[in-house]
Amino acid sequence: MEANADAELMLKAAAGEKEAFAALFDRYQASVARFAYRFVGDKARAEELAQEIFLRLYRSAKRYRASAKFKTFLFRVATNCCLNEVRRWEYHVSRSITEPGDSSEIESVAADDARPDQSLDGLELEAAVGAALREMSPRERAAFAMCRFEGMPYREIAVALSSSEAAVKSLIHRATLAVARRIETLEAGTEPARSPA
Amino acid sequence: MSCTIAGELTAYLDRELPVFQLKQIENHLASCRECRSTERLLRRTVVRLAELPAFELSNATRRNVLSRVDEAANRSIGSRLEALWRPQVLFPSLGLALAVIALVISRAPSLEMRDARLFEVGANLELAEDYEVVGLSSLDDLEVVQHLHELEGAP
Repeated sequence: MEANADAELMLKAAAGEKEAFAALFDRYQASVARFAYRFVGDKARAEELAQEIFLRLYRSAKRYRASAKFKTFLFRVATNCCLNEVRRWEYHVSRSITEPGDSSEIESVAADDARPDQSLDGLELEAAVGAALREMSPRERAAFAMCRFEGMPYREIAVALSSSEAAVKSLIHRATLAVARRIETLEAGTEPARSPA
Repeated sequence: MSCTIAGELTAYLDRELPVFQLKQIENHLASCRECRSTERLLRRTVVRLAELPAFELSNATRRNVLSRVDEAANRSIGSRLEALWRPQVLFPSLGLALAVIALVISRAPSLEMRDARLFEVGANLELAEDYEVVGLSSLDDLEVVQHLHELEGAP
């Protein structure tokens, strides 16, 4: 039912109804923000990226067909934006690698974004997950975020990533295991060991 | 991680496998300590991920996105109108419109033709009135109506 309402809003947005787009924004801003944040690991960049995702969504609204699930369409747009951002970032870093200090921008999640109300446990968990995410390939990160934070089924993730379900299964397994090893290390209070999985 | 089934444990946890395979893994877990421990770790990880703090966009971002969408919408209407005023579009469109108007005027029915149709309608109206005057109750009445005008002319 909610999926139908989303599709209807998206079709209205494509026809130029700005209120319909605002409703979609309000409904999905948290999901998009979370996805962007887990992807880049930095709140300021995530805000910019989320803006980019919503604008791209608006521009591609006319391509949307009601037969497709809106959330899958949204995350397809979001994944493409995030992958482009990563490519742009890698290009930027590779160009400025000789300049000292620039590489520090690939930040540690916990260090920059700590809030006073967050417990040490929460900060450590955030840092451990952030570190695991940074070590993943962009596609693993996207599949992991859609599965673990958005609860999307593998079939929909495969559509969003233009991939097969088998490939998605493998991406999600590797990513979840990598995060699990980080958390296990955190709980054991030792330095992380590289997992072959 | 030596078991071949280990690679399926995350999908097992997510219930993304066919029923027979889920059963197969359940049976395997009952006998394999290493896979059981990995499955527990994965399960605990999924639970712990829910503890991560939420991240929401600021109100400024919302305002910014919606105003940029507004801008984009206005720009697209403006640019569409602007495109219509380009000479490459304007002159052929005007030419086409004039041709259509000329065609409509030339194919409009002439006055004589319209008059003839009006006379036909008028005659039928008269006939309809006659039927009404006589009141049709039998087939003979039709004959009466047909000859009504002859009778009217008779002294």
